[in-house]
Amino acid sequence: MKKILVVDDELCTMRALYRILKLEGFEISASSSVDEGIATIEMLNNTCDQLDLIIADIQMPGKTGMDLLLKVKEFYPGLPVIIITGYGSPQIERIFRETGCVDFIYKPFSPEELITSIKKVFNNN
Amino acid sequence: MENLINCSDRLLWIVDTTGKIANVRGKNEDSIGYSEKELIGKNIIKLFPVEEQHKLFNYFKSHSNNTSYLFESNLISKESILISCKINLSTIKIHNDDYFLFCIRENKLERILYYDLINRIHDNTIDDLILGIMHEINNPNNFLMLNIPYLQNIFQFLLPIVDEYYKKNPENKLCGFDWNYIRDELNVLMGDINMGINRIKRITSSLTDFLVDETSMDEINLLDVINSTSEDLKENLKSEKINLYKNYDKLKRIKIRGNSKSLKSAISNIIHNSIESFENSVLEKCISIQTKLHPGSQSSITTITDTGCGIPSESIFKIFNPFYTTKRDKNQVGLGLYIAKYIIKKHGGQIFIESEPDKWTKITVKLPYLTACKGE
Repeated sequence: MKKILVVDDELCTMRALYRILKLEGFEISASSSVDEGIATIEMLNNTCDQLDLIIADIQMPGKTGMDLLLKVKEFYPGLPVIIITGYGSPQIERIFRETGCVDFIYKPFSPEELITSIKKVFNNN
Repeated sequence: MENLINCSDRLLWIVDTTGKIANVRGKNEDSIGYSEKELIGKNIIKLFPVEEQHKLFNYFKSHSNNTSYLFESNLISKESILISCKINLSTIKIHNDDYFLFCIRENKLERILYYDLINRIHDNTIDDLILGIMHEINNPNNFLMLNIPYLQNIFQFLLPIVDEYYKKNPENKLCGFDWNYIRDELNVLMGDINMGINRIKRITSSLTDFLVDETSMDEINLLDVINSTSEDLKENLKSEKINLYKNYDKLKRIKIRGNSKSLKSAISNIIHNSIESFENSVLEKCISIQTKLHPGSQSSITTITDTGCGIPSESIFKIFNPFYTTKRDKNQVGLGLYIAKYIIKKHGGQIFIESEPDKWTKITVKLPYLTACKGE
């Protein structure tokens, strides 16, 4: 079963994503901040229970999705990151894509859009 | 060489031709945060922000022995801090192998947080405001968009159970209505909610057109932009049976400084406005695009004229106002021409409109050009 970490500070988004991903048969870990997310990645990595994908928001209290992406690219370069954001700017998308996120999804998105993106990532891998 | 390497206020990196750091000197850990051990083997490109990497590529592509290249760039530190540096890049030979020597001096006063870059890109108030509004609307709208399909599934699951209940208890009302009425209304209700969500989405996504990427303004051919926009709208024009005519006054190229994507969006919005003006029209539907030069003012003049319904004189002055539309019932949000005007102004241009009700509308776009050439 593929394991996905969702990093988003919005509880409502988190609950909705949890339901959608669970229905699709994924195993979900959830973190409400970047620090918590990084701690989860490290913890899972140490127990050899590795993640297959991260879905992260950009704007969160404290560190941002860019901090998370840079950290993942440096220490877990093979771990794909999908960015979901309400900041729908093409310039921000360009920077995130060039930094290495595998997909950049603008909020609001439908469950199908997200699932299509996830399946594409797993198929490519 | 050793003397050079021992300069205390600089960092020195020796980089092989694949971009990997082979050796370093200087107080790297104090400055960029990485220890000597962490730097060796690292690809140097990764220490440069994406926006600045072209400076390296330019040198790597065109370098020749004994030439050096002095440039300013930011480097990304271990803590993701952007450090402004003066860099002297040259080539050296070590044991007959070619290497690049980076001599780096930090402008210590100019440190900024790397993730501030995201804010710095949109460093004027309107862009900040737009991004803020989009974020605040898109997030709650996302809750709706993700949850409504789930709710719909739940209703589908519950329908036979409730049907069964009302078969046995037909006299019971639900919210004051018969169950059969509510049952039919559920789909309409969900459809209306989805329509609302999508309308909000359309409004916020059209706001992105305001974010003209001034960092990627290039020399572009205006005629290519117009051609590519009309090509994208070809199917749309065909299905509405609209003839499109283009006349570029024998011009082959008009070089302007701009952002293709934004300008395409502006022209597309203007053409869309023309397409909508043909609603219910039985006469021949024509849109003509003409571009010529006005060398006196170093401007290109593009006119987009349609033979549609025209605009009454009492509303023509409102046409560039935000959220002004006469087609709210057709799900129009009234931002198209406002966005077009905003983008044209960002390109140093001007936009004008003239119209004769029931006959035609002409929109004129004036943009400064750099060079132009005529051809067959």
